[in-house]
Amino acid sequence: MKKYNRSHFKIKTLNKEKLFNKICKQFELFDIKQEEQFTKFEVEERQADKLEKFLRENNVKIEQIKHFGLRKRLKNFFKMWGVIAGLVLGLAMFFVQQAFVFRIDVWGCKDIEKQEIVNFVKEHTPSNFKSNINTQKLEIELKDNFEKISSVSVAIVGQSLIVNINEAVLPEEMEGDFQPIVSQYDGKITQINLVQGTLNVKVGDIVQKGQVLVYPYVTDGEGNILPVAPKAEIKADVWLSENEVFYEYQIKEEKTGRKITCSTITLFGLEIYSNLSDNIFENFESEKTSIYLTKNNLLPFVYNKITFYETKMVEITRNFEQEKDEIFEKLRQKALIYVAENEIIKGERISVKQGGGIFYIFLTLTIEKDIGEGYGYIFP
Amino acid sequence: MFNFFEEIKGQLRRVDKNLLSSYNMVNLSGTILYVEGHLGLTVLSPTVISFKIKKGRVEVEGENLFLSELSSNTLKIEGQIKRVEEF
Repeated sequence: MKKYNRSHFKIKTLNKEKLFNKICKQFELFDIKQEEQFTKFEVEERQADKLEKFLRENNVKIEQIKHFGLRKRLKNFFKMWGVIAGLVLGLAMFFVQQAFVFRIDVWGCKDIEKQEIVNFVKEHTPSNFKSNINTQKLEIELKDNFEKISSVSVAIVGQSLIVNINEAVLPEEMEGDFQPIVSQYDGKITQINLVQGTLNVKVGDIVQKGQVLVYPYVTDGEGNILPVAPKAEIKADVWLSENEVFYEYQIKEEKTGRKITCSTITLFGLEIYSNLSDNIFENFESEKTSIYLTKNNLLPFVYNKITFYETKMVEITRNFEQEKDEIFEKLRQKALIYVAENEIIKGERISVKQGGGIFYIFLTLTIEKDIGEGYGYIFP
Repeated sequence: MFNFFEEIKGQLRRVDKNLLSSYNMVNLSGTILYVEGHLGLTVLSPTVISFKIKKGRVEVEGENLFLSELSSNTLKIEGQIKRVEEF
C-alpha cells in the first residue's frame, strides 16, 4: 500500500498497548511510534473514518488527524457545497454570456467620432443577443449613413462587436479652412516656386516674420475667387545676428566667500526661536528666504533665513585685441544654434564699434532658408 | 505461493510439527524483526517492545524502535535491534 494513501493519527492514551491490541483486530496499523506523551500511527485512508469513530467510542483523546491521498481530498471537495455551487453557477454564467455581445469596438476612426458610430450601432441592433445581430445589414446601414466611410466591416469576436472602418480620403482642395502661408523669419526673398495660391511677394522683397507670402485663393478667368490650399516653396536669405559688449576696464563687485547666516522660526508672526549674528561686513549682499516647516495650516511654523555675503570691488582690465578671436567664436556658436543641418551658410559679417574703452561686437550670419515651409492648410 | 516458514518446517523430520505452530520470527540484520503469531502487545516504547506469544512473552530491546506494521496476527518492528529474548 502506498504511504500517501494513509491517514496519520496522533493520540493520547494511558494504556496504549491494550488499545492497539484491540485496534489491530479490526484495522491494520503502520508506523506506530511512541513519543513522550503522544502515540502516532498510520492507517489506510479508507479506514480512517471508521477508526476515528472507534477511538472516540473508546474515549481515546485524538490530538490530530491528517489525511493524505487523492481520494480523501476529492471526498472533501465534494462536501464543499458552496464551492461546487459557485463553480456550477460560474460555468452556467460563462455559457450564457457567450451568447451576448457586451462591447462595441470601433477601429480606424480618424475624422469620424467613435462615439457616433457606437451610438448608431446600438440604435440599429435589436438586442445584445448574438443571433439577433445581422452584421451584413449593419455594414450596409453604416455605409449608407456615414458619407465619410469608404468601407466598413462588422464582426462579432468573443463578446465584442468590432466595427472596422476605412475612412474616405478627400482631396485637400475639396474641404477644410485655408490659411495663407506666412513668413517664419525676417529675410530677403531669393527664390519662389509657387504650386497653387496667389503670391503676395516677389524675388528681392525684404519680408518680416508673420508677413503673408501666399494667399489661399486663386482667381479664375472670369474674376471669381476660388479658395485653394496654398502651396509654395519660398527661399530667402535670412540673417541671424548675435552681439556682445566688451569692456576694457571694468569694476565689478565679487563675493569673497565669507558669509553670515541668521535664522528665526516664527508662529503667527511671533518669534519662537532665533539665531541672530551681527553683520560685520562692510560691503555685502543679502539673501532672504522663508519656508513653511509644516504642510498644514494649523501650526504654520515659518523658518526665515537671512544670509549675508561679503563682497569686494574688483578692477578688471582686459585687452580686446587679445580676446577678440575668442569673442567672435563665441558669437558664431550662439548664432549657429539656429542653423539647421542642411542649411547653407552664405556669408558671415562681423562689425566692431568702439568708444571710451567699450567695444560693441555684432556678428551676422546669412543663410538660405525656406521661409514658407509647408502648406497653408488646416486639416479639419 | 511460496511461504518461507512453511518451507523450513517441511524440511524438519524429527520435530513434531504441531509444536512449531506457536509463532514465527525473523530478524533481518538487527534492523527489522518480522513476527507471525503474536497474541498482543504488552510494552511499546522506543527502547523496548514486547508482545505475547502462545507459550509466553517476547521482549525486544534496542533504540529508536517502532512498529512499522501491526495486524491481528503479524507485526514488524523496525529500529536498531540489540536483543530479542523469549520468556
